[in-house]
Amino acid sequence: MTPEEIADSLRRSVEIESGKPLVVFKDPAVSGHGSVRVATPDTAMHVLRYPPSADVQLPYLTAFHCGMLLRSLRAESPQRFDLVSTAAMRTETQQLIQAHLKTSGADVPESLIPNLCSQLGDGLGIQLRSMPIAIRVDHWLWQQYPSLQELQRTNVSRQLQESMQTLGPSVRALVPLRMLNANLAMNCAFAMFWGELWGEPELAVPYTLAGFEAAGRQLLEMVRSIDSHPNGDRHLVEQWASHLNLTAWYRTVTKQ
Amino acid sequence: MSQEYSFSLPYSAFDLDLIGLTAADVGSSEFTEKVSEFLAGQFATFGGLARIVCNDQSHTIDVRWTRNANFREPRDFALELLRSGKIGEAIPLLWTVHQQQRRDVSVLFNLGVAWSEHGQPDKAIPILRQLLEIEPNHVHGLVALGVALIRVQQAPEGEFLLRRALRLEPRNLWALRNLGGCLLQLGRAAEALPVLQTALEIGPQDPQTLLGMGQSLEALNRSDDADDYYQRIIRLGMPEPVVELAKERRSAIAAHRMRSAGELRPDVLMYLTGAVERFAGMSLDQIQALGIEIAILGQTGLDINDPEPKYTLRSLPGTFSGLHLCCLMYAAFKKFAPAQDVGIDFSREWMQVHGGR
Repeated sequence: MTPEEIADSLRRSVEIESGKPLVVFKDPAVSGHGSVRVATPDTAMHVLRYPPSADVQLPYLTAFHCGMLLRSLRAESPQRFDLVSTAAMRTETQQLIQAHLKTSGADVPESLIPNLCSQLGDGLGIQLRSMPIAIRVDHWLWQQYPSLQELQRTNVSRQLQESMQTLGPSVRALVPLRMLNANLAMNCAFAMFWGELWGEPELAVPYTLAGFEAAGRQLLEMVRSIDSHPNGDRHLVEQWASHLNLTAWYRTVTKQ
Repeated sequence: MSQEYSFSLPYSAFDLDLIGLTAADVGSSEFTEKVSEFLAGQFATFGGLARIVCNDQSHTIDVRWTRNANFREPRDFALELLRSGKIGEAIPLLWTVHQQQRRDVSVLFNLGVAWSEHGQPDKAIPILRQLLEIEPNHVHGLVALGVALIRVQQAPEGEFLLRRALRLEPRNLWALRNLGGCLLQLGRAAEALPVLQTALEIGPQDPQTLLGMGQSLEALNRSDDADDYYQRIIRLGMPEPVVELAKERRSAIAAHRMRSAGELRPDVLMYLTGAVERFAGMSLDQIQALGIEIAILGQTGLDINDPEPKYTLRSLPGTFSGLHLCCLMYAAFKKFAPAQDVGIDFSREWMQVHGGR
């Protein structure tokens, strides 16, 4: 199968299993690797938005997001879940960020701080919800669809490079240590996974230098040891949250 | 094509347990050395190429690597930076390579020269001494150390090393040129002259040698001969700092000639008086525009020894001699920027024209 045929096939699977179409939009307002809005009982379709710069990558992005959707659809209730943030996440991250900005010297206008707090708090939750499962989906795609591997590798390499930037001084100036540590531990697990799969262990070196090797290894071990069926995904995310000391900020809720 | 990866980690975020140091050691040379060693070990077997830089300016460990065979090795990349004049960027890279290959003569030489050229000869000196301990007859190393020592006012040892380099390689232009400069700095212009003449046989277009010749001749009261060398530099047109220096020296010689010619120059008095009269009908903005236009024109050289009116201006009709323009510029600057040094001294004539004001 060509990458386009793989993407079409997975898209059809999503549509059959969910009973709703998946619509794909090129959207200049979207960055990175695109985003999916999953259909709710009140909406008629799933929507995948991707940035214009990712045109070439579209078959992989479609396959990846379909893989994520399929895992969610194939999980049996009550294991089908959403991740929500708690009230403590809003207040505590805001306090942490404000205190951190005062000492770090980052030049952030006062008016932008609430927005920054939302971005960082929500971003960490999205990473926690998606990264452990993304590793499973990507592994599955890599094994099942060799003709997709080139696009997958290009995309993941870019993602790995982007993640490494969070080690640098400019991100450290903005993000409080507690949030940054959780982010870096997850990035480390992701880099270790690909490093091992591709035989490029040096991909994890940046995180080793920063002291995240053990944390990353433990997170990756959870991906491998916890039930690999989609029914295990909720527990996997909960275990990552617990290990990263994030349970007071995010919790899983059963999807209706 | 293999992806190239890079990251930058602040010193303060490095996991010190990996290298057995404490927070007090962060930023020390031992820290840099151990970080470099540790990273070299991490990348030793991966089969690609990595560049590791401990950057003491940003206090970050900067790493870039790829499995792509076309990646430039750290040393090659540093040399490329040096060749393109990016000395400040090359230094941290060379320093890190030096931590990994401490007895590598080429790295020691390039790091030493880079520091010396980057205004840090005190850092260059121990590095170049290390080089000479390993290879005592490294001619370029001898010259580089000699130059660095001259830069920290240790000219006698500098002279000794440059002469040693010349015994090994008598026609080394770099050594000859710098020995000439060294002797000049030590007030031995007569000795400098034959050295620089030999240098000029080897590199007749070498601007630094031409400058050294001019300065030596000036020191020997042969200003007319010196002026010829300065003119040659200006004709070459580069490098800019040397050309600027040559222009300055030419102006100084011309000013000296005028001063020597008599107490007050009537032609200067005439031009300054004319300028003051002309300015009476002009606004300060107009005077300023005129002064600046002449100053810009002067950057390409005004010949004040030639009485022929051959220059024209946009802001004033007519044709002018070089001296006339200099007087106009001098008077103009006295109006809008009296403290500014315009590079020529008409102060006594100006006092006369202005009645001591």
